[in-house]
Amino acid sequence: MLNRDQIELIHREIDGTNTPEGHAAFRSLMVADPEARALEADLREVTRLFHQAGEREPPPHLKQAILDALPVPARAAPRTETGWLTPPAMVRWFVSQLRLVTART
Amino acid sequence: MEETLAAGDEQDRALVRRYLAGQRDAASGLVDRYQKRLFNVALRMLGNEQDAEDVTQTVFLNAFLKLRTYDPRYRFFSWVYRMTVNESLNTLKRRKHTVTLEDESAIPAPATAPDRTAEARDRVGKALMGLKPDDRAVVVLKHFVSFSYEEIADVLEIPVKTVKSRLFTARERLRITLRERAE
Repeated sequence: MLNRDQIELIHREIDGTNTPEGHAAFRSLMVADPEARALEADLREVTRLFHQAGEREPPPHLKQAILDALPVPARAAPRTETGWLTPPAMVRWFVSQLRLVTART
Repeated sequence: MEETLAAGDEQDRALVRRYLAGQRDAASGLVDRYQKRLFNVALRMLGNEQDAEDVTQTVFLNAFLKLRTYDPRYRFFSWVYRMTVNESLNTLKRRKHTVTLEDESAIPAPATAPDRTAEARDRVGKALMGLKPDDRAVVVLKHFVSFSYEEIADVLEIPVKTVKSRLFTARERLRITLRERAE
């Protein structure tokens, strides 16, 4: 029966994070223990399946949906002290008020 | 050729600076860089394409809204991956019902996917959904984003020791599940 340290040694080998000493210990374990070899083969099969599953493409409309919902960056429309009195700002205000009134009636 | 981490970080910082300077096309650059990766993390966490799409969109919106408070000393990708995992975990909590193991099989595989790829996706998807969400997050970041233990620890804000423990336990569970399903 494999102990905790031996199991971790195999996992680290799968992840490529063993030190040279750890790698040597792993090689010795592989030679000596059929249960360790079976575990290593199983774990490699799991990682192979992950690799084979690969990545999915996001829905084609996702990018545009994200961009459409984004707030306009603040510096894109520099504010002046009387920014709210500029014609576009006043038009926006009137439209918003009109919508409010329409919604209430 | 894959970009180096440092080059990727610098590209992220440049796009963030440009967005904050009012250049809206920088947002498009950041979405291009991350939408596929974040969508796939959410998909593997949730096992449902529509939920993954919603999470990806929410994460981007929150990221852009909070960009002014983002500290550029930290890596942008860690920040957005953390938001994706957290939003996915929140979505799972909101579902209020047990995720069925059949969810992933409801996702139509792209017509161009070879049969073996579709089969692998199906098996992996079902097995992943059998894990606890916290363990699943570690597996997804390790195997679908290829993060190191340290990067996973950074994203999930947990110790490296916990990352290893969760990963090894989860992989053992996956090994058993996949073997049982193959028999």
